[in-house]
Amino acid sequence: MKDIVFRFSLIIVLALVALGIISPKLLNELSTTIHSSIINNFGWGYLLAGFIFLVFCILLAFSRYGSIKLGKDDDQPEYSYFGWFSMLFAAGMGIGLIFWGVSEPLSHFANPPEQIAGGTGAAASFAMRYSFFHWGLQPWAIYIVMSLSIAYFSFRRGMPPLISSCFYPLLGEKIYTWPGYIIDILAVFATIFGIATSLGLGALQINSGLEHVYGLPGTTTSTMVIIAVVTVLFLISSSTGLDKGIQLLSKSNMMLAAILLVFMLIVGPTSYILNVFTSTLGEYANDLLKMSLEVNPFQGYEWTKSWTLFYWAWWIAWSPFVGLFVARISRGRTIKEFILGALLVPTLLTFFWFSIFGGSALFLQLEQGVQVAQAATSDVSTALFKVFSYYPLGDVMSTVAILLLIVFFVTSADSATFVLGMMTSHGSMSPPLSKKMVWGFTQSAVAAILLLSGGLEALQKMAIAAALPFALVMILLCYNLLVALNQEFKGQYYINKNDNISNDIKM
Amino acid sequence: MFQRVVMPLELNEPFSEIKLRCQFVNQLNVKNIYLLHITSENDNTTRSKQQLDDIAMILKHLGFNVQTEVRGGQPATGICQTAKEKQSFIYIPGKRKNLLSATLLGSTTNDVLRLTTIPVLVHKARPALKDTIKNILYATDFKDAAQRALPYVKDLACAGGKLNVLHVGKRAADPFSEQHRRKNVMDKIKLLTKDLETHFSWVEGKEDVGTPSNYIAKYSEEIQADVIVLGRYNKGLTQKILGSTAERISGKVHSSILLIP
Repeated sequence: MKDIVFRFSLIIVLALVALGIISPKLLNELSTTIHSSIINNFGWGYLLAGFIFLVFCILLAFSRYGSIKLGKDDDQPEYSYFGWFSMLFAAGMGIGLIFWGVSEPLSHFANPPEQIAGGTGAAASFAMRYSFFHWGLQPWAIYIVMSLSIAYFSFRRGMPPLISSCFYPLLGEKIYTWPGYIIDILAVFATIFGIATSLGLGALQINSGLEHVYGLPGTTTSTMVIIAVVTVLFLISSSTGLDKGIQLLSKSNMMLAAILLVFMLIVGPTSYILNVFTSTLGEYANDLLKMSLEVNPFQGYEWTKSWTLFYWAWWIAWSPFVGLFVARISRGRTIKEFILGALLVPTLLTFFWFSIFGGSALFLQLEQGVQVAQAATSDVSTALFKVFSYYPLGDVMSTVAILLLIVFFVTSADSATFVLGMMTSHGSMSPPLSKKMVWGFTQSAVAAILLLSGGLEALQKMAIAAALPFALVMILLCYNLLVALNQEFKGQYYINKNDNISNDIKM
Repeated sequence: MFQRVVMPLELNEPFSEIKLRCQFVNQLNVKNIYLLHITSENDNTTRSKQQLDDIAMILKHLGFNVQTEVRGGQPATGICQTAKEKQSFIYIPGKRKNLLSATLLGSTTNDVLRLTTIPVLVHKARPALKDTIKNILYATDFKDAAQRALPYVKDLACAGGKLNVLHVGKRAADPFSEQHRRKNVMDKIKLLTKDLETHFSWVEGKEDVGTPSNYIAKYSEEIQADVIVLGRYNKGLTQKILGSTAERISGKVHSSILLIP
């Protein structure tokens, strides 16, 4: 059958959406049961896997394989460092960081695990440390495992840029049959649901921002209009191709994000923010090992389940999309350069982001006596705008933040459309426009319909459920990658470059 | 190659079986047989020596060139040590142990396979003691260890003997490299079989991908091989943890195993 991955993925997605429309309650019950049983039984596995991936990345970067190129020996990086980092950051964190930049530290501050008293200095320190942790090295290590494998097998080994391609050492020709299809269908499934929920939540936050700043009605209709406008924007961007559209959008994101960051640093409590950054960086470095393996089985397990384990599952579910996209933009870089660049630069930028926005929010709460934490926990989508309103030119910052949200929204949707097109076109680097359009409309429709029917969170849980098999897939990816790198190091491979055999195979 | 052999005895074997074992090794052109008994702390060494000498005397009357030795210590170490001193290969009758005792106590056969630095023939269900070795499976990875085993394969050749050459490799990491790897392997097998055709009346080469121990065990049962000839590569963390291929297949097959370290 032709286009098996495309057809089956579409059928599964449409079936679940149909269930979400007909009986959101049933979908919710179903997804809640699957989600909670996975988190309850395998939560520790996510934490352990995240730590293993981080160690794997660091060891690999400094290993004998570090100098191997993700491409042919004479390939050069396609994008400048600025373009590369911008796209990495936009795909990896994007909307989520704006959504949680203020809300997460405030939520942890107000509702930490039971062994810490909420609303205290210790809670603030904990809140910042764990915000760093949830958005720090581990998420990027997860993305790197995925993207490095795809980039290596596709650009170095000449295979289609698909997750199933990375399984050739283990599965051989079976990657072209059902075992391979299942891996790719699972990737499409996680991507479409991940992006749809992310877009749905993003649209809600844009709506909250517009309501807060301009007094526009925060109705469902206006959220639908936002989704429709953004859909038109990302489909236009998508049709212009990766080089122009996404790169331009990502660079604009970085500019806007930098403006917002610097502006807030200046108008906000500058020295307080820098103190928060320095202090939290130290605590993070000091406690990284402890946090990496801290499941809190005796006290605070519920908190760990609803935050850390949720995040780890989410990053894993999100990794096929980010992995494929990041692989696509990383051709020509060495393994060491790729790992260190993708691990350190976006992480550092994220730390700045949390220190500036989270630090400013905690400053209001702890030093100025403004009760922002309670407001943030009651409605996370408005927290950022509420904090802005207490600082000079708050409306301007809110407008820039809304603009940033829209651009991130468009970038994420555009990248996802491209990646979904790739996944369902046998890994074609230039997926047909028709497929990109189908996925573009599908992801927006899924976000809109489930926002209306109330099934969006259920969908997010389904995406997280898909993370469990993917955690296993990713551990096997590490194995496959090591096998391939080891073979290359021993000279047991041929480079398929104009049929020039560059290396005699040794048995 | 097979001029001298160390044959460990527990001294509870029926004489008829010992005689058959000696007849079996004689077909390999063995000139000297060293009967060895390893005593434990509680054993009466003098009595054991006497028993062994009695067996040797009868065997000498039957025309075998036999010498005896009794030593103490750990059986596998003693066997390997004696074989090294006598510059002989080791002949061990493979005994089936139940799973529990094999897991908990291990087996002398596996210990010898692990410790030996000289060739070992582990005689299992095939071929029967009265039969000759006719169907040989030579497992090769084309590395030095397998090359070292090749003269022994030629030495085992007999009239009407069949030889199966098997290579079990690791799949290359991409289809293009895999295609070349396979071609390369087939070329090497062709060369090897051509060389061996002068010694055997029937030679066939085969290659596959997978875990060597599993595949060799499976294939040897499939073709009902009499003996599997293997070289042993003495390095690697996997071997230290999991044991060599020979150790791993020894419990799975009915074929005898000739290990060349």
